[in-house]
Amino acid sequence: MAATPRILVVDDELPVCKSVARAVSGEYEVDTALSAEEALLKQAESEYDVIVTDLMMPGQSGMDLLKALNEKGSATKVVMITGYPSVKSAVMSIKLGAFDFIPKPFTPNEIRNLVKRALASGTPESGNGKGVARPVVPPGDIYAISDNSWARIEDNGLARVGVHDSFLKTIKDPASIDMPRPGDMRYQGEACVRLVDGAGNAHRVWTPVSGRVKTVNERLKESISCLLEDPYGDGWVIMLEPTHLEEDLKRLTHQAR
Amino acid sequence: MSQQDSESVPSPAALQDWIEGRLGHFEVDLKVHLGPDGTWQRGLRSTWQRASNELWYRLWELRRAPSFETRCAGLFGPFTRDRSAWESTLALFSHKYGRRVPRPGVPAAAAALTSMIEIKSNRMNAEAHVAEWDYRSKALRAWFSGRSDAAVDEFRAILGAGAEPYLDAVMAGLEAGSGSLFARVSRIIAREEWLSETLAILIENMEDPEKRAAASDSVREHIAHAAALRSGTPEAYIRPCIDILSNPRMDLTSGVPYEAASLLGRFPDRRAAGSLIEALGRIPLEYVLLRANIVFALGRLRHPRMLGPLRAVLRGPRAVRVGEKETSPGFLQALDPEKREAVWALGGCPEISEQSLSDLTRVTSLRDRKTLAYLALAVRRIGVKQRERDGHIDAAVLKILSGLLGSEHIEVFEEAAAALTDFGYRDALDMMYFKDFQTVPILALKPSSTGLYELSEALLYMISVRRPVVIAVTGDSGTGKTYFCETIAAGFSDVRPDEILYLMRDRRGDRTFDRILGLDWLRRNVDPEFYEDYDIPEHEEDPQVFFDRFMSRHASKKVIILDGWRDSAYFHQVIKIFYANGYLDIIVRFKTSLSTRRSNLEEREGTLDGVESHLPLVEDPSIENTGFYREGAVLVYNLDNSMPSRLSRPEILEVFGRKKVPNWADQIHLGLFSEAPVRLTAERDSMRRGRCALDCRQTALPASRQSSVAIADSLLSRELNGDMLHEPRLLEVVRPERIDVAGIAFYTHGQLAFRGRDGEVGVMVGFEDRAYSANAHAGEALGLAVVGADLVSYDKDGVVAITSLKEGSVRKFAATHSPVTAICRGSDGCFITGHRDGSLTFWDIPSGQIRVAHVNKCAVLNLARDRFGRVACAGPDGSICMVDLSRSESVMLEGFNRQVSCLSTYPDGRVVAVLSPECDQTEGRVTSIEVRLVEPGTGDTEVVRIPEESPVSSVHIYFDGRILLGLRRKTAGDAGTLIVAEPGAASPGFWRLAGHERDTASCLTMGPRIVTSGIDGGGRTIRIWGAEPYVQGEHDKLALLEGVGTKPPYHRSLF
Repeated sequence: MAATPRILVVDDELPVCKSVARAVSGEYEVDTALSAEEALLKQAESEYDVIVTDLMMPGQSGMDLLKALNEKGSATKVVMITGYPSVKSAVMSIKLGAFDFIPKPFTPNEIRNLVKRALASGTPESGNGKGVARPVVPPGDIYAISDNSWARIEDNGLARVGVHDSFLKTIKDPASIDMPRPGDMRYQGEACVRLVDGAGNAHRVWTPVSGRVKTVNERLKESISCLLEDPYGDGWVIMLEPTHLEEDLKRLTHQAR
Repeated sequence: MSQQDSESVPSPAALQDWIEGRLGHFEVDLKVHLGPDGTWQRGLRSTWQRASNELWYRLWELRRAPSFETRCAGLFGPFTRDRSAWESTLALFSHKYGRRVPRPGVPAAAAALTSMIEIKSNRMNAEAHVAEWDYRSKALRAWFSGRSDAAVDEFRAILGAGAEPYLDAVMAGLEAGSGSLFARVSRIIAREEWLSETLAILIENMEDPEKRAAASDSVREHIAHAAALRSGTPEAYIRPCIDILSNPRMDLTSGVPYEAASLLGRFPDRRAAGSLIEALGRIPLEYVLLRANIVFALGRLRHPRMLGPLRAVLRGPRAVRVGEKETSPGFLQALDPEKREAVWALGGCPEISEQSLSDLTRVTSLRDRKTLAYLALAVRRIGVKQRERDGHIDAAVLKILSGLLGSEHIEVFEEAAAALTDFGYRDALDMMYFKDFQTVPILALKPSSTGLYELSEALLYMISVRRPVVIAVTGDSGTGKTYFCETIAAGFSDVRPDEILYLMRDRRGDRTFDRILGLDWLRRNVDPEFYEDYDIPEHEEDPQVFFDRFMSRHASKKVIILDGWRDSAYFHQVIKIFYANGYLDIIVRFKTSLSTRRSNLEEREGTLDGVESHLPLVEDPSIENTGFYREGAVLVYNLDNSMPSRLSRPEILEVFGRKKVPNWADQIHLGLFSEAPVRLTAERDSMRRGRCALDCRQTALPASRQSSVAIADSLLSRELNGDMLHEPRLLEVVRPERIDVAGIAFYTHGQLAFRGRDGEVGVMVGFEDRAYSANAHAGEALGLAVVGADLVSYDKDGVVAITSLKEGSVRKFAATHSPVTAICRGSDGCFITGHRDGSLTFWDIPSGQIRVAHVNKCAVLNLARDRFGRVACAGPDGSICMVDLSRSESVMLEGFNRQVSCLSTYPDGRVVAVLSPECDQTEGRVTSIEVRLVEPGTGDTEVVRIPEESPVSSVHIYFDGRILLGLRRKTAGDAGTLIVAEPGAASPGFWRLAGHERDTASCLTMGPRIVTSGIDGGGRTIRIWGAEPYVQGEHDKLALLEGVGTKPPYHRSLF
């Protein structure tokens, strides 16, 4: 990675492009492109560390851009911006290798945190300072939104949902968690919980499968230490009663036992 | 301050602190000046006091500017630059005010500065240019000269020989160091003093009955002239206008207070607030326009004290009785204008208007559309403010908005909808659908922020393939057309300014549009004052020759921009001429909410009069009723340019600065198919032609009956092509629910007109995936033409029906001289029908006339009209008749041995006749389709013979010359029912597309898409096709959105 991380913002709407660029400027070298084609030309001149791209654009889409970067074996992290209606496709884009996605509308702080996480995820020293130093290996038979959240289908048909260890490592000083209430409905790709770090920044964890919240892990309300120490076991977050399981699972990455 | 302090030279920091301290106590709204002792004192009686007020007001205006400290230093520095200057300053002060203020300190510098402004202004007036004959002005000039000399004499008396060096040094320092502020204030005072002397006499004369009228006229003229100035010193009129408005003896009927209020609206000045508020409280209600102007001026000031008076206006009566006498009851004068302005003013100041919610609620009972639209804006701003501050919105705001959403006026609905969008309730709006889809609401338009992106790509692509590219930018007055045009006319990307020709309507001295229209046309349609200096005699001019020369003179330009408000009496005709001559490539139409227009006009015009005279300038005919929009031959960008959607000048330049999508042509045009066409041999033939005069009979429209019809709406379901491997040119299949579509026609971008087998006609709207229809016939609607926004159809009984979905009505013409057998659209609200007896009827609905011409020996079964207005018709005998109604002549083309199945016109003016295999009567079975392109002027014919045994159902000509043919098969097969033929003298060819299983009954193009309707195994469907790269790209994007109810803007008009 270059000394000053380089970010490319891609959006056909110039005002959006500029405001995203403004939000992440300051600490990074920020460039803009108004199309996926233009982004690929700029990337060919010199690789970026993170590309923040809109999903839907005239000409090539954000997904096309992601595919083109994958084909070239690029190490650039891609963050997908998406309108609400295409959250499902954003989930799909994560399956195809995007680092994460952010639904519109979002605050400057949210996009800044996401870029920060994307940059942190690539560094060997990434870690939250509170959790385990050893690498945590995800157990088998889980369905995941890439490095964000996971779901395991229990024998009783419920989906146990948790946060990926790699996601936790990108958050500096996780301090608390906001959880939904039992009975709340959550759709795939929506935020199911928010992790708040020591600086008060919220980080969204996406719902892997749509469903109604049956229970939440009450232990986390007291302390999130078990989430950091055992994210795939005692640190689970919520239990969902799935509503569109078969369809939702198609968009997730399956890690077999 | 000690004696010692008062005599030591003040440091720059001390000066700055003192200035800021004074400004902290400056009461702008009061008529105050800074006294010699450094305290604020009431009254502006002398020039010196007015100069002081002007100086401190301008400093107060600049107090937060980055250059403020530098300017202060420049203004006060010359008096304190060294001990000598400071001592002279103190000496002058001591001489004038020594008794009152024995130890002045910094105020001495302020007093000296004010005196310098007075001296400078006197000198300016002493040197003013006056006409040789104007003795009054000469006398005035001499008087100012005397005042100037007296001031210098006084300096000499105090400072002796040091007076002039001191004066020169200080003046030079002030002019160099104050960043023009000293000169500006002096100029204002000079002008104001001169003016006051002039106005004082005139105003005095207004009290003399004999001189009143002339004096009033003169004062009004003075002020109106100043208000119209964009340069000069209009600020000099502010204090005199304040005085006029504050004068209780001023005759309110003279028009002088009205002009004064107008000027105060044109040049907002905080010092006017008190007088405006006082005048509003004093002036009787019947002076409606004067009071509205005062409210307008207050609104421009955004003064916190305006809340009370504006609330009083809203609470006041809705009308006042005027002219009541013993002999007459008078009449009720509505007070809408002042209430409307009060609502607008409150909308501009949400910080204070929140307290007036209860009064704003009263306005909901008014019917005036502008007032209601402004109300929506006012509560929108209040709601946004509340949400930002408290995180929630007052229920009263939502209650008002929900009422306004139901308004019959689209402007009101749009403002209310925009408010809900701002509040984050866009989802609620997306759940609504718009039955009145023909008046396209702003919500359905692309925002400029994305639309201009697409326009930039299209423009840059077109410049790369042809020149000049003609782009017309139209819209209602105040929608931002000229802002956009001026931005790109200054050059963009690698297009230099000299490669762009920018033509704006009503530009003084430019007669191009007049010459294009011609004097004869102008005489018939335009007020004579607009062409009185037209310098070409009528007999010497030929508009068509001028147009041809004009285009050839500018053939090297890359872009020609036509900018203007499109009205039927002028600019619409100009665009039509470019279009008819094949030179119009792109139409950009800006639309904005009423509030955006009002804000733009207020910014541009500055006066309520200006705003009110430009707001009614809306497009006529509406873009939806123009040929450019309905015929699909030019690229139309219909954009929402309202405040949140618009791009700034730098943003426009950035977007237009470069090509961003290399293959943009595939996004706007039907691209090339990946495989090579099947090649054919070029053939030529000739047709016999005979010219004859047209026998045309004009009568009134046949009897008709108009009735209301219910508008039904139903859903369209879309199914993405699931087999891209085998059919890579099919994008999606659209299945209308409950409608048995027999044929389709282009309605507008993103909308398809259709006729049904059960007698219904209607429109399918891609934005909402809905179809709206009305039952126009008892049986199948056999033909369809889109005329303006109306649908004209006929049935097997020959009944012609004009259906207006907007009005929910059908007008049926039961009996024509012969049953109708074919139909096509004409121009400007007209259409043409062909009849069983071989005649054509030209229907001119707006004028209530028809013209019937007998042209064919047998029934007219096919009709087509070219862009020059000529009509081609064909019957079962294989002949084609080309009719030119404007020249009253027709040309008969004969020589076909088969019946013409389909007829159309080619972009170059040729007639396209398609002869089906089954129609051959003499040679037995024929195994080819013949596409014949006939030059009507010579009869020369190019023949494209496509091996195919099935008959042709439909034909459509793409603008680049490719011909789409829909086929009808008895049974479903693999051969397909859609052919794209490519004529050409050298090597014609064709491609086969699958089409519909049995019959591709209609086909047309929409940008890069081929849209067909026809019969499949599962019923009738609409199918969308394209060249492989386009279909693949769009398919991938639509796949991402599968199952999504709300389409993002980019896909809104996908048909």
